[in-house]
Order: sequence, then C-alpha cells, then structure tokens
Amino acid sequence: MSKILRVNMTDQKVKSEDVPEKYRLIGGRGLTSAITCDEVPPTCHPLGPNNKITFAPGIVTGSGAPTAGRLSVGCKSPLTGGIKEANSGGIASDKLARLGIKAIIVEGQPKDKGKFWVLKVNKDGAELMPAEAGWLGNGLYEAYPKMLKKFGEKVGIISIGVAGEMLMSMAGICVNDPENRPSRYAGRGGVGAVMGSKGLKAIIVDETGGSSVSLADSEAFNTGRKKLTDALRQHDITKPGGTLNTYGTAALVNVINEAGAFPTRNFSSGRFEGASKISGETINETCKKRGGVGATGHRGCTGCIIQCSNVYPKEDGTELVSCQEYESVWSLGANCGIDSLDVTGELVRLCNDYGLDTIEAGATIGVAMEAGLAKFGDGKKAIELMHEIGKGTPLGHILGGGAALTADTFGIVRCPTVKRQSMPAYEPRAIKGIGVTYATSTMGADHTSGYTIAPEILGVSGKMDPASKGVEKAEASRNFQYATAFIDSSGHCLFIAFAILDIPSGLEGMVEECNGVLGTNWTVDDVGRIGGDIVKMERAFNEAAGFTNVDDRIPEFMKYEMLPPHNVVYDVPDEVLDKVHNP
Amino acid sequence: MNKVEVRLFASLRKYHPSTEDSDAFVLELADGAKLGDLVEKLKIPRQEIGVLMANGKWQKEDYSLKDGDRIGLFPLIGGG
Ligand code: SF4
Repeated sequence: MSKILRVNMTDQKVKSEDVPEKYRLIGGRGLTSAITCDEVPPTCHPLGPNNKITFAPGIVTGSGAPTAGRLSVGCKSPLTGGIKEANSGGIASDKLARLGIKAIIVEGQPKDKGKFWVLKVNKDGAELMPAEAGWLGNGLYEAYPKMLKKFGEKVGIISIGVAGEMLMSMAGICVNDPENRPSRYAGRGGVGAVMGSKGLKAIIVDETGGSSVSLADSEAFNTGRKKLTDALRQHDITKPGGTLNTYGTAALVNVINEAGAFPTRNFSSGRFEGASKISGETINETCKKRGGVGATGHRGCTGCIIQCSNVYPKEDGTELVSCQEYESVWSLGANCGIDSLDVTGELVRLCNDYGLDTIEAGATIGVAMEAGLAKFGDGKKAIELMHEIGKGTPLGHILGGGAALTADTFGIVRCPTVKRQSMPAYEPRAIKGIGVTYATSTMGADHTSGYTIAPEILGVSGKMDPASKGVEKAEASRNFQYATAFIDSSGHCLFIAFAILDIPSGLEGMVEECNGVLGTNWTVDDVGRIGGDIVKMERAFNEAAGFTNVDDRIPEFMKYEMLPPHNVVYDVPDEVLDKVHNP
Repeated sequence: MNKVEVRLFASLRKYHPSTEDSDAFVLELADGAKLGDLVEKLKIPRQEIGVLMANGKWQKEDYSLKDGDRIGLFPLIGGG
C-alpha cells in the first residue's frame, strides 16, 4: 500500500499516513505542487518554519516503465518567492516508489540552528538520526562515500551540499547516479536551501525488501510500456545511437549557436566563437581520444533507455566529472566566455561538490564577470569565485544568492532573470517562444517548463518561426507548459517528449502506462487537461504569494539592447504574454 | 560562382569532404545553385538531415545560395 511520510523537524517525529483520496491519482510534480498549495501558506518565508518541502516519485516510477526514474522536489522557492518543483534523475526515486512511498513531506524547523539530521527510509518505515560530523561542511565527493559506508553501497542518497547547509538560494538537491556519484540534481530555485533550513542533510533510501509498484491493470500497462519503448527506440533523438545517446544534451550547443541564440558573455551576444569547443561533438570526440573512463551514452538515471549522460575524462583518462550537460557547458562556458571543456568540467564538478544549480551558478558568474570581479574567459578566476561560494565568504554568500542578488549588489542592469531565477541556455530575443515560457512559467525563467525550442529550432513536433511574436507563441507555450506538467507528474524524464511529440503511439503509451498503474481511463486528450490543472493550481499559489502579470515579463534590457548576430530585441507584446494564462 | 561556408554537425560530420578538420569548410557552387544542390554535392542522404540553416535561419532545399552564406546542416537534435 502506498503511503505518505510526514517528517516533523520541530520535534524530529516521523509519521506514516494513508494517501488521501484526492492525491491518489497524482504523482511527481502534480503531487508536490498540490501538497505545497494545500499546506504551505503562500506568504510564508521560504526558509521559515511554515514552508514545507515535499519529495515525490512520479506515477509510473518504480513500475518498470522506461526512463521513469525521476524525482520531484516541491516547496516555496527562496529564489523566486513562488512555488517550485525541481526535478532530478539518479537512483533514489525508483527506490522510494518501490518502498510504496508516494511522498515525503518535511515540515517544521528544529530549534537548534546549524544542527542537521539524516532521514533513513526503508521497508520498515523511517527514522531521523543526527548527521555525523564528516558528512557536514565537506564537499559531496567526500560526504557521499562516508554516507555509503555507513548505510551500504546500494542506497539512494538525496542530499544537500554545503550551499544548502548555508541556506544559499542557488543550492540544489543532489541524488546519486547508478555508480554513486553525487551528480544528478534537482537544481533549480534554491530547493537545497529549503531542505537546509529544515536541518535535513540527507534522505537515505534503502529499498531492500521493496517491490515493484502494483498495477491496477497490467494489460494496459504492458501495452503502454511497449508503445513508449518502441517510440523511444525509433526516434532519431532518443534511440540507441541517436543524438542524445551519442552526443548528450550538449548536442544542442552547435544548433543553438548557429541559430544565433546561444547566450554569450552574460547575454551580450547570441553567438560564441568557441561554441564548437564545448559542444556535444567535442565531448564525444574527447571521450574517445582520451579513453580511460571517458564515455558518452552513460545511464544517469534508473531504468533509462535513452542514456544521455556522459563521464568526461581528464587528459590521462581518469574521471574529471559526470556530467557535462548542455545547460552546464553553456552557463559555465559560453556565458562566462570560457571555451574549454576541462574548465567547464572542473566548474561542474565544483557545483556537484558544493551542491549548486549549475545554471544559476554560471549565470551568476557571468553577472560577476560583467561587474568586473573577473574577466570574461578567465577560467581560473571563475574557479576561485566558485570556491568563495563553497567557503561561504561574504562574497560567496552574495554569489550564492544567485544572479539577481549579485546584479543588485553590483549595480548590473544586464541581469538575465525572470522572477529572480536565471535564464537557461536559450536567448529569448532570438527565439521568442521560449521567452514566452520564461516570462509566464510558474517557476521563473525555466526552459523545461515549456520547451518551445522543439518546434522553433529543432523541427520536432512541427515547425514554428522562432522570430514570430503573435498569439501563436502564447498558444505554443501554454500547450507545452500543460503537457510538461503531465510528463513531470508521470515520473518520466522530459526527454521522452522528443519521441512522443512526433510519434503518436508513444504518447498513447505514456498515458496507458499511467492507466495501468492507477486504473484510470485517461486518453491522450486528458494530458493537456490534467497538466493544465496543475499549472493553474501553481499559478494560484503564486498569485496568493503576491505575483501579478507584471512579474510575467522579460528583463527590460532585452527590449532595448540589440542581440547580435541577428540584431534583435525582445518584442513580444505584453498582451501576448498575458494570453498564456488567460486564453 | 558562389562561395559558401559550410558546417556539418553531429552525425553529419562523416560527410565532411576532408577528414582532418571538423569545423567549417568552404564550398564553391555555380550561380543559381540551391541549398538542395549543396546537400547533393556532399552526398548527404536527405532523410539524415533534420535542420538546414543559412545565416542562422531555417531554410528549405529551394533556398538560393548567395556568396558568403553561412550554412549549417544538422541531424534531428534534442537536449535540454
Ligand atoms: S535521458 Fe538522461 S536525464 Fe533523462 S532519465 Fe535518461 S539519463 Fe536521465
């Protein structure tokens, strides 16, 4: 039977609760957002006792569905001040689901500041224990092996790093990958700071004695699983030996750069002369050339058949880091004027070690470079700035607060954020639809919440002119935002979207898998409705927290600063932006 | 004659006319040549191409090449 664990950090008590009827048919983001909306006062301080942080596997996580090992983490965000769902891969979510855990809600706050606990979860229940000294104040590359030694090599670890312990707004939450690296992240929105504010260092998930998620209709499930698996194996982007598998997400570097939409040197250009040096092609070639542990097509998350991750080797073939993602090589590379994968790899490693969102970290260093704290392209100095964050110096705390805080502190106008969350690796001036998503997402600037890049640049799910700025962009963004909220609730990785948007039977398969687990009779037409309900609920939370349509805007500098090479400004009218949530 | 600068990406790199260099190369085409002619000249099977770009914008095969154009050819690409 599935259950919800409620962890009260005020008195360190853990309760197991039945799943209320209203949460029975949701999971992942749908569930974390529902719990945040039902239990968190929208005006509470994100780091105070009234915020709650919820962890939830998706609907089909733990069922044997392909590429479905995702974990949703939800709370009120200290970065945006609005609702947050950050999503991670790795191995922990599948284990939680196999223990019958539908969600873990962490609430309250310990009286002793600076004291940390670890929540141990296994088939008999859950208990809190004090965190050992060696797990705290150290990088995660040091802390993870210590925790594994204590709890066994096969546990899932959901943990914050020192940035979370220090309550920094760019702190993420880390999940171990199949080889136990601290490398998969629910990165965005400062979820790590919220976990830190609860005095919770880590959740340890031991699935021994757990079992596969029970199926209400195994026939529907098996049909669905087969359809989705076939679609993933067939589509050029997701198939074995396909683009994601061969080049990783950084396959995007060259295409976005060609399109003139690759934000460079703190969003001052859309093209980076060093792009090809940090591309997926170069990652692939370097892995082959340097050999050793270098590998593309690495499985970062339980049960994934796409396998988009990589292990990037140093010159001598030993491991530098996993994983050099598109977003990370952009934020810590092009956006800082850095064209070396060895440097981006080192910076990603530091983010993994300190527990940081690579997107916010790179965007922040870009702003810091603009402020003169380092020169664009100076990798050595970028590494030093990252250490300031890890050490928690006063400058480190400013940087650790994110791009918007850093821009405020140093008087930088060119601050690429929406709702104080930094933009990811697509320039909205050159690709208007993604700007509509950045502006209107409930999450702040976030590409994953409505990936219009697919039709605007990649030619997936149809084609749309990236330069157009009419209501069609509002519609596209809305449709993507709704569909995404469903996928994020299913437990699938968002990258299945490339296949299921182009192959109708794949989309049916995903819905049938959900029916198989839940006993529902959903059709593909329900995807938009269910996802839409989630987005509307999140938006209501944000409204109650004080957001209005004026917050759904792109930063002003993008409206008057021309972006080379196309020399364009952001000119989607406000009325179009407002149409996304008011059709 | 039109000289255009060509870049082939990801799985299309294997159609690069010289093997040692993976970046841009220059191709000369007769006046009036279209993007489709360029694809043919490089012997790239059409079904392997996902996106054709000229000067950072999507184009189709009937696009008329101009001297100095920057061409990028990609397979279907995804990521996030
Ligand atoms: S596609 Fe990549 S990110 Fe998604 S589940 Fe697979 S390995 Fe993880």
